[in-house]
Amino acid sequence: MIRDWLKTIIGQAPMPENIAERAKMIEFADTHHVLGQMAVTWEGKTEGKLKEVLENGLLRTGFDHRMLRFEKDRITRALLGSGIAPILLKGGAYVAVGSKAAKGRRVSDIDIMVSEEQLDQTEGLLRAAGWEFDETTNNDYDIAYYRKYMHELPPLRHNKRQTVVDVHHHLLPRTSRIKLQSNLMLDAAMPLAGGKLKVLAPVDRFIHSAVHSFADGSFDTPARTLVELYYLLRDLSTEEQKNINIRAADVGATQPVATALWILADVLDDTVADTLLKASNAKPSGLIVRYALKQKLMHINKAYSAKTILLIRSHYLRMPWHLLLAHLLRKAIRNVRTLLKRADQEDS
Amino acid sequence: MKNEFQRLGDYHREDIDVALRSGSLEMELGPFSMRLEGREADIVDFLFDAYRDAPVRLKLGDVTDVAINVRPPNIIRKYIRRQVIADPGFIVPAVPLPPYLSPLAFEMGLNLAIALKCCRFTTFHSAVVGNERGAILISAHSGGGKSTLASALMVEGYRLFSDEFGLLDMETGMLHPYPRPVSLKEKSIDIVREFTGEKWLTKTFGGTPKGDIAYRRVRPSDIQLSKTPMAAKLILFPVFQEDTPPSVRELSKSETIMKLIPSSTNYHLLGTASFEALIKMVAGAQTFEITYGNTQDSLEITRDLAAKAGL
Amino acid sequence: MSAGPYSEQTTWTADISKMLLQPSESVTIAFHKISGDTHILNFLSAATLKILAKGDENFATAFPKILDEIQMTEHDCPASLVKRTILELDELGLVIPVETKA
Repeated sequence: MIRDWLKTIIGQAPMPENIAERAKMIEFADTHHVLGQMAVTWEGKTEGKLKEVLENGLLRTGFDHRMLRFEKDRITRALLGSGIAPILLKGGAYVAVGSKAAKGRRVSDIDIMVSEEQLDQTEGLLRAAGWEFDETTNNDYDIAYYRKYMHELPPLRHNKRQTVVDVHHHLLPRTSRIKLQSNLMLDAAMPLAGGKLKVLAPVDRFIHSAVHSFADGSFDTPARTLVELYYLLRDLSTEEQKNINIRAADVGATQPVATALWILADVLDDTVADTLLKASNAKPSGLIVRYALKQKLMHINKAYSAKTILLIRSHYLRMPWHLLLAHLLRKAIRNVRTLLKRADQEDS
Repeated sequence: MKNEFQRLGDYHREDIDVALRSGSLEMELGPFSMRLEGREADIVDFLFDAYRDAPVRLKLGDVTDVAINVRPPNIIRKYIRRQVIADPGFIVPAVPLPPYLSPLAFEMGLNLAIALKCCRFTTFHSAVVGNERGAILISAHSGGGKSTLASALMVEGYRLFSDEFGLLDMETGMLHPYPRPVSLKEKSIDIVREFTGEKWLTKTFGGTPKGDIAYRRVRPSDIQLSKTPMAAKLILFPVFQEDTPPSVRELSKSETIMKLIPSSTNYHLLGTASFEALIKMVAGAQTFEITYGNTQDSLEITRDLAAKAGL
Repeated sequence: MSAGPYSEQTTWTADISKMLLQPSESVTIAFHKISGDTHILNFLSAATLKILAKGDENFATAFPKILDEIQMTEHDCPASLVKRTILELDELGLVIPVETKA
């Protein structure tokens, strides 16, 4: 059912006729923060209460995008004269370049990235302009920990506006097992009009999103992630799409990209993703992880066991000494093969 | 079988109970429709007590603005020392309550859902009453006496718009009614009982986190007119100070705007349209801060100001 | 406090196409369409905004024009007060250094 709902949300399936199901789908879209995307897809094609409810999604997204635009200007202002041109990541970048993935997408925090050499100066200038570390992270230990082991500073919250900026100095935690060639992606970043900010190249935006969800994160917002990947893929020209596999190999992101293509093909019947996956010789994540990812998506509210597996996996990817846990996971693989088969039967 | 809106009190208790359990009960008040779900007999009792005149249908006729599910916070609490929370579909810090207080969870959850989910109106935390000439918006914090004053004004002949929400239409600058039961706490229960009469009050819930709570029922006439918006003629900021002689201070337009903005749950979110509607509403109304020591004083001041404002 | 680095040479500008300005009694209600923030401006802030909307100015060049706008002398409204006003407007994002214009 969730598979159908996701397809409806991206406009690849009709609106459910049954009112009770339709209501559940709307609540699903709202709870999982994709009501805005759905509203954009269905704009002008609905009436009555459905139209009014979808309008809520548009209004919230409208606010997010205005806020982002303002904060983006505030960051530029704070860095005036420094020569630092941060790279906008994720939602901020999508909105700035008018990506399909931006339409109706919610954005709460702003992610920017600067080189390691520019990190101290960036932090200093943002703090001078009113951004502060939250009390819980504003201590030497946390700040040092974030610098040494993580890929971003603790969140910086503006003392008047309460908006949050995450300043990245790497695309993945330093301890991550996936050794991403971030420098290649940074070198290819493109300046926005005015030259004060940059964004990753279109193909790299897809790769970064895949890495973020399937290498770094724990697939926390599955519905949102899937919709995002779907549209990021559609931002690309046919030429750029063909380039994904090569680029993924160059930057060391073959597996997360293959996993992203697999889940798009598998859940949304995305033929573009399917073709790309078949064209590559890359393997998506192993069975157990794919099972867990899918469980998390399909039983989004009750996939407790899947959640645990993913949580452990996330730690394992971040911290090499969790190899032990991975070993334990592998032992369960035989059972999972059966489970995956069963889940597939249930879905179809 | 027809599935049309009917007065809740005209249904069999069993039908409401079944619809509530299956989460298909739809209620419509003013501009909002609500999908209601819950398993507690206490909520069914409460619906017949506080919402008997509200229009409901047993099956969803459409998607709804909000959905509220009063449920156990976890599987254990479903069976052992039962507790409930109201789940509006997003994470809220809710205090689990015993089943006999589930109506409170229901009311609070519904308020949160309306405040945070519905973006088609600029929503102010205030009570609103009105007549055929215009509306009075009463802006005060919880405990500021807005519910008591609104209840008193209902007796004066005003219709109830809401005791929690001023819903500002961003196109017209008018206020929309959303007549739900008026929530009364502690001393105000007896005060309102005195001038309203016992028949308009629900049972009292004792031992709640906020002390005693009872509700003043919405009248059929309030519900009949719940689709008719009115422009605000008078905006009041009541300040309760025990044993203080009553006083009135007129506020400037800019002061009024800056006092109303922080009381809104979504003014900032809605941007330009809400600013323009707020300017329009304030331009058409007189604004006063009224300081009073008892309900009688606040009522007399309001009567006087309403007359001067052409209400 | 300011929204970022500045110097005496910084030229400032105000993009009032991003704002709704509503004079009300003795003040101006300023709504910024992007930030969504509502501000109450006194006559000095309102005049400063007006001058910087007309043309780009640094502190020194803005000063006499603002005095002229509010019909006051340096004695009643010293340069330091005008400078502080510009910096306050900078903090709110109502005026910005020309260089940061997107």
